[in-house]
Amino acid sequence: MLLIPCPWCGPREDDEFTFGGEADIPRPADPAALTDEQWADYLFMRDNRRGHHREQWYHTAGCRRWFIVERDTVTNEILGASTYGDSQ
Amino acid sequence: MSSPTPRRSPFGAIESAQPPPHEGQLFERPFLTHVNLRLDSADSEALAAIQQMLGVQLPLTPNTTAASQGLLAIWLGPDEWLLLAAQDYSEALASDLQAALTGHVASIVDISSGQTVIRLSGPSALDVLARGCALDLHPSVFPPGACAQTMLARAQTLLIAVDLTPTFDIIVRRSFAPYVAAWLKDSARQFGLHFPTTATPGTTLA
Repeated sequence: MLLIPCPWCGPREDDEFTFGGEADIPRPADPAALTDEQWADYLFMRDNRRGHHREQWYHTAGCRRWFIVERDTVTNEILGASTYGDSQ
Repeated sequence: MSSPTPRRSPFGAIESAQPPPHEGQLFERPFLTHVNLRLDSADSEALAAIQQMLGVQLPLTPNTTAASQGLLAIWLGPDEWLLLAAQDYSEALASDLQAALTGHVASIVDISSGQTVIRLSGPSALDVLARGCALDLHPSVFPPGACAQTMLARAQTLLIAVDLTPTFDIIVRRSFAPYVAAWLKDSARQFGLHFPTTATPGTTLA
């Protein structure tokens, strides 16, 4: 079980959250200008990093906000959490 | 008998079957007014208008509530609150909110019929909840006035600490109410509290 520090509600068990995959993947400004390969790369391809990972979580059973968690994918250690506002 | 008969939902409790009140109480607070309010918490004018109307400032600190005359404002998110008030007040409350927030971006939704309040009280209340809730609800960290949206027995709930008995208000969606009530009764049995069973699940509880 992970203890995830929601930036608003505080630390909660992972049952309350929905995982949202890798963070920091901006939507292309002009999707129509992309090749199929580039669009597929945006939609489907992820780094699957070993170690330090910035990822999105959604507090489904709590405040219902998306936020960013930094987690080590090897040890599952949570290194921090931030809102989207913090990271801009 | 001079005291008025309290309004009760059709399958309400048989009072004689309840354990003595000092040992524990489990009952529904039916038909209360629940209004969901969303607005930008950076909009200080809107917050001031609400404060003037409700007589209390919307809580901006996560997991807290603020009470004023017959109304409880509950923090749900950085831009979202639940206003809990007496029965049959939702239309008046919603229209007052709408008037106060004219010109501001806000959302006011009457969700009174979508959820209900279960009140659990008694010396064993913490133990009863702990069997299905991972949060530490001890008054030293979850004092009266605190609230939390979390899972209770795998159901989404909003918990509010009411007093040091301890007493908790448990707000659940109405479709979850029979399940949560049944679970609470079952959990309470572990601690020697035998709450009555309702005639028709889903109508009300004890």
